[in-house]
This record gives sequence, structure tokens and C-alpha cells, in this order.
Amino acid sequence: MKKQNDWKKIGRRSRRLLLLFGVLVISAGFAVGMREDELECEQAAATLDDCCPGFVVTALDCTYSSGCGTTSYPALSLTEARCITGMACSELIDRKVCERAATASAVIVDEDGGVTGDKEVCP
Amino acid sequence: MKRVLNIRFWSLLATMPVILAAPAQALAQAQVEPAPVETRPKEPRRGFSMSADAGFAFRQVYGVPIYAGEFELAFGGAFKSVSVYGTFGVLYGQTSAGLTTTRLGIGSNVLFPISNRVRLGVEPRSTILFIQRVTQDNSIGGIGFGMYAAGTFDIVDLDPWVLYAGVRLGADAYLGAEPLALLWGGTLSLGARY
Repeated sequence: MKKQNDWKKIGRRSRRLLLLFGVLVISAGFAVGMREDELECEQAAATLDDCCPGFVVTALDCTYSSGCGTTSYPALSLTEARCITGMACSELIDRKVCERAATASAVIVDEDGGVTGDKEVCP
Repeated sequence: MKRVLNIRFWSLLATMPVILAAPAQALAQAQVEPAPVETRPKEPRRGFSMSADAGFAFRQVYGVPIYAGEFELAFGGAFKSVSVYGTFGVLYGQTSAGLTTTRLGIGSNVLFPISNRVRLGVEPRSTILFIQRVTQDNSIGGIGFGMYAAGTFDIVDLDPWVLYAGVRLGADAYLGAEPLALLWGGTLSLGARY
């Protein structure tokens, strides 16, 4: 009898956990579709935020979006982001990476293949 | 006749020390060599079982290292040759550049006792990963499915609880990621099992 009650308790708890998980899955819908270039850009942004005095991290666009014939890529490409995270703070300042990153903007490719905002930041 | 009786009396008297010494010797032997004790190993507990463990976790996704703590709760049952649990776990930490990372997971643990102290098994998981952006107030992440190999070693038996050390190694694959995102790595933990 005690064992039956234990199993019932487990069943109730499991259902609650599944419900909680379902709610989290639905509420996390925005997060689906992880991209490597976005993650590396955010890593680089965090590094610049730590190293560069006065750097406004929220001004950097690290998102990817696609629609209406245009595709927008993160302001720091994979190569540039890895270049930034691989450098010491003093190097980022001395080699003026901080300055260039502060004015970097998202790279937009239109349906005709035209590219805007493709600016070299690192090194 | 009297002479014969006299001889028998003296022979009996002569053997007395031996007769008296025998039980004393036996007693001394009994004190030196205690009776053998039943040393059969204790049967593992069966029926309802639960566990909680916490430990240090290392993961990597797209080459980005994540250092975290992981906590997991499990409820289930222990049978003769297998233990099955339903689990809920949280992994919380930071990437190498300091992005806050949270992974919530549910799944099951299927563990097979290999000896009195060691259990090995597999842990399938469904997870949600959130890596907090610094440029905006939202997260990068996704819904994933993973498989882990796990092992536990019972350190102390505090009947009915057991303190154990655990290790889990494996990976989660995230849906819709570009390119395929594998969050792989392992966790070293300490836990208590009922």
C-alpha cells in the first residue's frame, strides 16, 4: 500500500515537471534557432565590454535575421569575433580594435546581392 | 586388591591436571579465535528511490567553453538489476567571456548495479538552453535532446541514505541551430540517494 502511494506521488510530481517544462518550452520559443555567428559575436561583445573604456555594448548588433528579400548578419563576423576574443585587452586598445568595433554595424545583404555595413574590425 | 585400587587412585590423580587443563585451553582458544561472522554483502535496497546531486560541470558549444554548476533531482525505483528514475536538472554558469548560461532539463536515468558500490547507465535528456546576450535583453539558445553516459560510486552507506560520487559525460544536440549545435561535456558531482 505504501509503495503504491509512493508511485502515485512520483506520477504526480512527474506530471508537474512535464507541465513546467512545457511552459518553459513555449515561453522560450524566441530562443530556438541558435547560430554560431551570433554566439561568437556576443562573446566578442562581452570581451569588448570588459576591455574597452566607454564601449556601449548595446549599440552592437549581434543578431541574424532574414525576410523581405534581405538578410542581416551580426556586426562582427565569425573570424572577427574570434580575433577579438583571442586578443588581450591591451592589444584591443593599442590596435584600435575598440574604436572600430564601436562603429561596427550589422552586415545587410539584399536580394540583388548588394552588401552594406561590411567593415573590417579586427585586427 | 587394596594395592590395585591404590594404583588406580594415583593414576587418576596424575591425569587430573590434564583433565582440568583441557576446558581452560578450549576457553582460551575460543577467546583468541572468535566465531566466524556472517560476511555476506548487504542486499541493495529495492522499491522507491530518490536522489539529489550537485557538482561542477564543463560544457562546450561551437568551441565556446562553459563553466557551470549542475544540480539534479531524481525520483524513481530501484529493482534487483536496474534502477530507473525520472529527473529534473538545472545547469547554471558562464561562458568563457562571461555570458550567463542556463540549461534546464528533464529526462530519465537508467542505472545498472555493477557491484555493491558502482552503478553505470545512460541518461537521455530533453533540454532548453539559454545563453544570455550582452547586446540585448534576450537569449540565444534552443531546445535540445541529449544522451549521457553516467556512473556513480557509493562512498558512505548511511542507511537508508547513501552518499555517492557521480560522473556524467555526453552531449545535447539543439534543434534548428545553424550549423548543428552540440553542447558536449561532463559533470563531476556528489549526491545523496534514498
